[in-house]
Amino acid sequence: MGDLLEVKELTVEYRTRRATIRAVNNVSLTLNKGSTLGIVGESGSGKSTLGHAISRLVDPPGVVASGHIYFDGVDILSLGAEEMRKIRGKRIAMVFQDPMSSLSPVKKVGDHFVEYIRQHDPSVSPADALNDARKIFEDLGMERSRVGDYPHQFSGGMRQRVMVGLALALRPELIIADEPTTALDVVVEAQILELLRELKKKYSVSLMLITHNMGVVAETADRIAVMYAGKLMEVSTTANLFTHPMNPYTGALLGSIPNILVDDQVLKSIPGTPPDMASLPPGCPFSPRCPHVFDRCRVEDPLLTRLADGTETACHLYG
Amino acid sequence: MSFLEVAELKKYFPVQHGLLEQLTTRKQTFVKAVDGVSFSLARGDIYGLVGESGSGKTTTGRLTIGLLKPTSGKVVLDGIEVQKLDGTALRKMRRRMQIIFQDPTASLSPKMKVGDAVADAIRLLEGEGGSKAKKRVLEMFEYVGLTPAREIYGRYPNNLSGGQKQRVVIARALITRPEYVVADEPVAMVDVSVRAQILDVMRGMHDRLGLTYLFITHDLAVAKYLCNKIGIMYLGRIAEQGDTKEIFRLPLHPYTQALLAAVPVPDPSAKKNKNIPHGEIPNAINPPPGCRFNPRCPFATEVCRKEEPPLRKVDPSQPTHLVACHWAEKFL
Amino acid sequence: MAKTGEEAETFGFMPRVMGAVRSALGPGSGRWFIVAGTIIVAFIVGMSLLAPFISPHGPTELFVGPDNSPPSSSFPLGTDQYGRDMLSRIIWGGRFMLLVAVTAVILCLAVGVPIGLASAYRGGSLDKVVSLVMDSMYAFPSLVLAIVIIGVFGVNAINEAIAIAVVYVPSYYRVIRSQVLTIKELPYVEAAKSIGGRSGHILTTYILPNILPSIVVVATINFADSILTTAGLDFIGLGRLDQPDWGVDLFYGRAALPIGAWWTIFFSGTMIVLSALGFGLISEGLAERAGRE
Repeated sequence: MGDLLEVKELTVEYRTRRATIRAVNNVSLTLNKGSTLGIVGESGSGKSTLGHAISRLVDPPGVVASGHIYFDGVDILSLGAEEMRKIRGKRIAMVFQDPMSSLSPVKKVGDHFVEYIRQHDPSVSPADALNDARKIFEDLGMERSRVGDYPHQFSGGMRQRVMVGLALALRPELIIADEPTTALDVVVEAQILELLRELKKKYSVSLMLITHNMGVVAETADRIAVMYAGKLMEVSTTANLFTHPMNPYTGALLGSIPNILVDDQVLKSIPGTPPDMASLPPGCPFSPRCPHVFDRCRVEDPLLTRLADGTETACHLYG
Repeated sequence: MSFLEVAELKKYFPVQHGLLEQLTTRKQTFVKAVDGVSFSLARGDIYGLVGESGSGKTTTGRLTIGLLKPTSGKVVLDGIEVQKLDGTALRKMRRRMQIIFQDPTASLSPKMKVGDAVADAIRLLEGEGGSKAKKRVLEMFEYVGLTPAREIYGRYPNNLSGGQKQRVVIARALITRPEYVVADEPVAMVDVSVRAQILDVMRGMHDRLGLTYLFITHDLAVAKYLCNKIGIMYLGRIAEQGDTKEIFRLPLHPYTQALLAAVPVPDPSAKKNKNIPHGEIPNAINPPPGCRFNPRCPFATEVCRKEEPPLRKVDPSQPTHLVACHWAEKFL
Repeated sequence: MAKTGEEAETFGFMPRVMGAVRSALGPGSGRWFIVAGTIIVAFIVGMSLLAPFISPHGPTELFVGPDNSPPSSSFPLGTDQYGRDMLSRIIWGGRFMLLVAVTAVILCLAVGVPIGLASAYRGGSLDKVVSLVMDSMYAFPSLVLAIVIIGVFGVNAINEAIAIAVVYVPSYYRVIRSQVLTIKELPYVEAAKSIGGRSGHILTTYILPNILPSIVVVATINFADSILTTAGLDFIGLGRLDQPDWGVDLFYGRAALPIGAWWTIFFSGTMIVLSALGFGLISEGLAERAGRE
């Protein structure tokens, strides 16, 4: 047991001349070994920045303003670039939304694996690395011989499988998947999610799944963290989140998305729009749109508090 | 007679070959984006055209409002053959049929005030301009929830949120009171928390103006929520079609069943049939012979590999439920 | 939506140098370029317009002072070999160049913009033919063509403007064409068609406003280039030798160098560089803003 990952009071800002945007605002959460944590939010929620911050891939003008990220007990924010490079890939791997941007079109897919594996362990021979790649391809449901193909010879879904394979190549402890299926057709999406579930068990990896799709986290995650405008609104087990959400944003969101299994569904739309991150309203960022808003919400930004059943929520109704 | 009738619609796009290929091969290959699509809509229908990428749904939508000319087939709107129209006649017809695009940002010229962009539709399609047109635009802005209308009129698209921009796009499409509207994935690029609003606006305008929608989407859940009829497209043809309730009650085509199994459901306790087909959608240049879905279909047999199944009635008690599958009866 | 890399290639070394300076100064430095450039241009234009009122002497008046005298209190910029006051010549010297530049830009806009828009939007064989013509014109060295035209038809503002315009139109064409090709595939153009817009209307109302920033970028470089071309023509003697003109000063100044009268060419040369620089800075600053859109 134990937390593989503990994010503590993390704040990430994008500092431009025009404004400072707090993409991640004082976020604290934990991820247990072997579990899947879903990070859910819309555009501007900060979920993607959070994922990047954990692999320390935040580029200027983005900067980690404060907080800690403890990975297996060590604050990786305090590590030097060289030490972080050892961790990135070997212990924490990332899968992004767009596979094409991570694969060089002039290199065979197998060579990507070989280079990647040998970068982290030069003692591995190219032949062994390629064999490892072939084994992974089998697990991915693809023919072993395809390691000799170029990226453009794969379809979108297969390329994403390759990315998952690459992420697993070094047997990391944590995979951060940032919208891994958003650009894929729904059937391929289902395939990839099933693949992630299978391989997670087979390779004993913990998974942080970042997405805007509530259906995806419902099927895949053990626990879910809901973000809005950079702020953590609710953290709960998957079962609890959907049956009794403890934050008006979560509740409103769930009430506004169509569910294919429900007949004659009535959706309740949320008024207003997600806020402009450069000019956030004072108090709770959801207050302008919240159906349960009262005066305190507009003035004081609620802190994340833990409720009796373990659910955490940032809302004045509960804390 | 139905309001919109689409008959054996086909659209083949010639493939651009490189110079060498052009010199050595005599054959011209085509992307068969739409390969024999037929359906009909009654006035007031909201027909969900559902499909994944490469299904041809977007192309079909554009064919029905004359933005593309079909390779063959007919589009008949209120008795008029749209695909035969050109020039002025087509422009006149445009008053009656409009389109709502997917990307709200890219559908609006960055250098035009949004009010003017909508007023331009009035000017071009009805010849009315000036303050009368502006008044109508302000009125429409109120209907679609863009308030304060006067202030928003003068804004440029980069000063509006995604949801607001999409409302402008809707306003522009509906300002001339068309009868038939194609909505091409209108909420796909809108924030999740705003989607329901946009769907409400669309439903509201549908009821208010008596519109007929062709609602193109890849999202079955949205289609189920909004549409009274659904057509599932796969690789340029319709696989299954019928009333929404009926399709979801008893999906007969293996592809429809696969889609339903695949859609992620925001309910962790849901039990779903987890038969997800392997493989991906092949490209539309060389669709598989016989039934297009056969390489991925768990029930495929010899006849499926040889003969393309026609779209047909399977259950006599459900005359509008059509399926293109040799074995559809199996699932009754 | 201009691509500054493409422009640097199209317009030669000056944008490339300024682009390098701008990258070194970091993003956002474009606005300082625009400010600096505008100040310089305003100064030069103002000076040229007010010349009759602020010039202490006539620029062509001979022997108002001793010949070849260095800068002094009575003649702050010195006098040339004919005793003409350099200060007055400097104040008057930009008018012709500016006139030529303005005319050239107007000609280019009148010809290049419609051709670029129509050709790129229509596409097909028309586009192929026009592009071919434009590409071959593009290869022309502007100075050579100018020399030929001036030599045959004589020195005046129109002829010089035509020579410069002929060589510059392809640059407008290129930039406009590449923008139009991109924009015409965008949804908002399709939307304009769907609400009944015809080609002409779409070009003027939907496409042109969105490429205007790029056109301005090209026009400002055009100004700079024009000034340098006029100066070049003057220098080799194909200028109006009887009129005040910075380039002509350089022509006369060749005789002054051996005797060390640096002031007869230094200030004129500086003004030429300064005016080209002013327009160039504006262009580069605008290119950055256009690139950011």
